[in-house]
Amino acid sequence: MTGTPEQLSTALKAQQYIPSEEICTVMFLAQQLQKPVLVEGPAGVGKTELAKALATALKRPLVRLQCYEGLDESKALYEWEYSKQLLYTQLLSGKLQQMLADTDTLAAAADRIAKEDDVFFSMRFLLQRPLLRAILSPEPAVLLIDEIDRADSEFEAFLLEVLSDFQISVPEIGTLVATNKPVVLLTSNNTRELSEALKRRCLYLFIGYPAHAAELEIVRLKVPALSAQVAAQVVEAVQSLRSLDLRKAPSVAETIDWARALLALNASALTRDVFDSTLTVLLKYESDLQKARQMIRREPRKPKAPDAA
Amino acid sequence: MENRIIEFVSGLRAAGVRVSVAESRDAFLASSNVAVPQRESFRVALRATLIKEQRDRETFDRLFPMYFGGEPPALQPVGQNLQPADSETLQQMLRELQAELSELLRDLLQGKAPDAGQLRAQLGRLPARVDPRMLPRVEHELNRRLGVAQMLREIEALLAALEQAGMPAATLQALRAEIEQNLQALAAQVARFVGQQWRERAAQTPAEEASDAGLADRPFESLGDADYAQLQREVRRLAARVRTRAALRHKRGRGRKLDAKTTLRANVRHAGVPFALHFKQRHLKPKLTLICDVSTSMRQVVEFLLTFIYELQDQLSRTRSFAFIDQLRDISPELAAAPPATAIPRILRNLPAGHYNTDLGAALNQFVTHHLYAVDRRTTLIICGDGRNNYNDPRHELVELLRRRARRVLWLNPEPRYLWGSDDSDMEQYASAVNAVHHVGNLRELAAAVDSLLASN
Repeated sequence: MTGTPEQLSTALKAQQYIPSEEICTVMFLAQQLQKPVLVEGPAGVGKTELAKALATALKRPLVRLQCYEGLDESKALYEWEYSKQLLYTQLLSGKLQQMLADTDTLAAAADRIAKEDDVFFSMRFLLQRPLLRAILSPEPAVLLIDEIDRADSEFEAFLLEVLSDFQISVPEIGTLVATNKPVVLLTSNNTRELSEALKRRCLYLFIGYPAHAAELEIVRLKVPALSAQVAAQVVEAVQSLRSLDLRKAPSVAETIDWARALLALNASALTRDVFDSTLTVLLKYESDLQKARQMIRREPRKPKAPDAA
Repeated sequence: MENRIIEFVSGLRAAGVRVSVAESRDAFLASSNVAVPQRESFRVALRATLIKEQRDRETFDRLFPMYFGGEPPALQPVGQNLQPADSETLQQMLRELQAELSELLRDLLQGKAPDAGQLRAQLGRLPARVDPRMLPRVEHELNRRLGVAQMLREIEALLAALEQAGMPAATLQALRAEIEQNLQALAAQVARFVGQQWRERAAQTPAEEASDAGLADRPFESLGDADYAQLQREVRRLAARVRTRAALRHKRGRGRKLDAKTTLRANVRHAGVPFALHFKQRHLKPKLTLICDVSTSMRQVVEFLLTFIYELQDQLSRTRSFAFIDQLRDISPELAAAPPATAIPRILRNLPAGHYNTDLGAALNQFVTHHLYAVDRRTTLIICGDGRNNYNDPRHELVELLRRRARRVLWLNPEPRYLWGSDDSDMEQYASAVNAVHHVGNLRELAAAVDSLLASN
């Protein structure tokens, strides 16, 4: 466990993740208070990346649960392996007969089998899904519940129970309690409103688009081979694109992709031709592309960041 | 510090942010885990525990300095470091202008700010429940009543007089800087005072509770702008309820048919014992196309309808929306691009409402000519309008055409039945051409209409 937010910041930076002070403090608090963190923000600002970096920084295993519509307990929590159980029963039938050979009555035989219940209802036949895996993990894990807003609201309600007590009851076996509470991160792209109850139980962290300096730092870190001048131009262009009214503003992930593309093209400067031909890496809608082209047409030399950015 | 946090939480509640007891306990725990002297991490700790909605952040950021802001800088006497000669000039000038200078300026030059009593006398009592976003305006008003504008003019006059009296430019510059500093300090003190007043009021006013209970039943036309935030909350709440019901219906609904083929195939590995059952996939989620009248009389209903429908997107397979006054416009791309809370007001702003120019007939004609692909046999078409057509051609035969093509055509009308057919209303004709008409006079009726739409699919 890292002792202070500052130590956490250094550890995350060592994982090539540049956290803001807010991110560090909230992550630190999550460990201190043992509460899940709800991370919101536009797509591609590094919400999932944060969980990955955190897991490596804390040297903990990462357990990831990707949510989607129709996700239910058997996919998220555990599944009982009937077929394996059946197979075991069949294979062990010889041994069973041997064991029961000296019993006279049916009741005595049933009693003896009942003693062996544990064999047939054991963890052996429990297929662990991410949530259970995170709870039973021998060393504390980082549990990432990705895109919770895609799951149905019933699943959300079910999750509440797991997240507040970190225990799960399996009818066949009993209640399983977490020995080591995992650090839980839930991410949401805000496609639907999450329930108040879930929000109450979580710490809240909003990650927006990074400021100019932070983004430049990210690009320099992720694409070190790109020249400093081009990197600065890239970030400047992206920042000013975000100030346009676009259908989908370019995310940090796309900035990095673009920087990589420019590196692959061996571009020594972000000229208008280069900008035009690589813009599709950054913007995915025709209407957005047109707006961006208009923007550079208005500023003939190169796109410049507005004062606010 | 603990008292201060409690006070802060009640301030947030007074400003309309929902904070539960559990959350304020978390805030305590969190704040004891970070070093309070580090103001930034203290702020982040409180924000992460108390604020769970992006939209409440602004309120938090506005209130935080009011509670944990520390003392504003004090005013300093002006002209202490002047050369004896310049100082003499200044004093003489002040004596000369004695009558023309306001008390406020004289105090400012001596480094005295108006005390709390003076400020209170000027401000009066704040009304209960002032939105914290309005506080800058309150500050502005207080500044005006204190006579700050007048003082600024006097300062210019004083400096000009000093220049004429032969004070060197550099000294004037320094003097001006000192005065500016005092002005900023004064503004900070005024802001702090207003903040304090607001805090006192917030501590006295109980948090808003359950006051939105009756809102769902109030007719749309009696709802004011003041209720708007509450209404949005209510819409979301009702939508969440409808969604849960729809999802449950989806799961438990009748007609869950066993898919024998898939079940057999899936259970081959269990030696044919059917452990895992598979059911036939059903396409229960309705496909919607909306045509909304956004003329003045309909705006509110349409706004809520759209919010409602777009809150329920996960229960629908596809939605297309069109808006019209006299011209039809496809508004689906805008709604797809942004969350309903920002997209809908933007759309309504872009479609300025005129008076007496609704033309449903023409809009229907455009729809049939250009967008007929948006209606197929799986689509439920919803027309939201009051059927008041300004004596234009109603073209109800087009509605009939659409009904034959669509799965169903529903009409949502905020007007009660007895007004149909009066004056320019063509509702009677439309009503006979569609499958069902729902009267939606308030939020609850709207919720019921949407719910029945999902249920009967």
